[in-house]
Amino acid sequence: MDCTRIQEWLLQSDLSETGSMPADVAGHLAGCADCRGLAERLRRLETAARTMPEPAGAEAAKKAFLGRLASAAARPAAGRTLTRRVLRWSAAAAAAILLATAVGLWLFSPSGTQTAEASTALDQLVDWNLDLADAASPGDRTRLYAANVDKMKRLAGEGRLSADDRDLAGALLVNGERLSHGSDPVADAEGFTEVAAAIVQHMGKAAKRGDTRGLKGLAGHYSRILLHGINARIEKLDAAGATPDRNPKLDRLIRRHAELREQLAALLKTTPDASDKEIRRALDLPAPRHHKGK
Amino acid sequence: MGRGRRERTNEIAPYPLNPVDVELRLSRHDTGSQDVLCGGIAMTQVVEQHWNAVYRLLYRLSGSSHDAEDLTQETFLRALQRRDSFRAGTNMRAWLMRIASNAFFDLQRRRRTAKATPLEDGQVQGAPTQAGPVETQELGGLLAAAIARLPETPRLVFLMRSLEELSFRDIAEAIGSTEETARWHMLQARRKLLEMLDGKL
Repeated sequence: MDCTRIQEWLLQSDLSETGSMPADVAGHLAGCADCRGLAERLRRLETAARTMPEPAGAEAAKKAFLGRLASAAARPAAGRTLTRRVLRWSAAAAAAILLATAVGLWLFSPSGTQTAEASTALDQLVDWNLDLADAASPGDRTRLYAANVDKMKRLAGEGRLSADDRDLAGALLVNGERLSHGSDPVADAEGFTEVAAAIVQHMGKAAKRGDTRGLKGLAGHYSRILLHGINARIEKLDAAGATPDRNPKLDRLIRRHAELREQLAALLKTTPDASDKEIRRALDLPAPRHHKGK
Repeated sequence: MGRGRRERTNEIAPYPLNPVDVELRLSRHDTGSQDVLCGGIAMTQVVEQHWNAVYRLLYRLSGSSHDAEDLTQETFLRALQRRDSFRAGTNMRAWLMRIASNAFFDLQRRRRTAKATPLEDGQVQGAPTQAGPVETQELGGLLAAAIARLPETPRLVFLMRSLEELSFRDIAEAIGSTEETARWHMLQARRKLLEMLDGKL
């Protein structure tokens, strides 16, 4: 081997390997002062790197971070803002999928099965649910329900809806009826959560069959249910001082949303690559491969 | 009905800036305990064992103690969020270094996007360090300044290998590359450092 090759080997070697270096390298070094000199300078470089002064401030920053960890772990009533955070997190995931599928729609020829009619029918059912939940009084809920239930049943029974969409429409009808009977924010949020869970289930099916258009529509319904149905109830509960630690139902709700969040994250694996990138970016998840070597 | 105020939205709700509370909460639900585990190790222990190394790397990468502090915190928050992605039995230090370098490159990208003034080469020289013996300090200071002038990826590879003693395999994983590419970056880094420190070593 000539000097150029030996020096390249040295420059990219794990210097601890020099003790067990190939015989031809060792033989060359024994007879070449230049290459031996390079090996020695590289060793000094490594030593110098390990003796660089330690930056100040690391210990103080570590203590501060550990303090945050300890106080977060010890704080039992973290639920007020926590509740919102958990739910907003899920909303971010759904909105990300909405955004991502919009990109997917543009990039790929859609072969969607959710028709515009289905989307309109489900939109109206979602609106009806949200209006019921927002009604000013229990009496208003009852009146709003009675005034629209027949129309909603017709929409839900439309032959143009796919079996999955009819199933979802049915869940919205059931929730509408449930909303008409009460005005407890926790019960309302639970009802909306069941609808949200049904939507996530259908999103999984849509992703599996590559139905980008359907996935986009469902993600939109999910976002609206979460932002305007569930979060609005959570805001009320927060304002009233409810925390998951004192309210087991609220606690279960948060856990349920953690599960839904996981399911939404799992959808990353079944969406097209192009939209997968968008979802990851929006969720701040690591990309599979980062900054390849230049 | 009120469709207008609830139109379909592309709105992306703000990602929690500080997910410590959320993660701890969910972890306690998962495990039924107050401990948050990462690769079977309590998170506090992970912080104790690896914080200084992550901080050191980020300080040498960014050349700023302020950035190093922010990015180290960001690294451990990301580790907390993504602890399920850590494969037990693999090198946790390398896993954290990968997260740290991604956090650093993300910051660089954000700054480039915002057209913020980039860090000046050699800024690291003026930053506070813990004093050592004078001779060591002198050579260390020169080397620190030289390292700060390396391109980003060779700088990262050199620091991971020479400062943190990661294997080239771990470095390759950390930079999302092959072992050969990692070694090539090391070659570039060492060659440039020897040039810059000519006569000092």
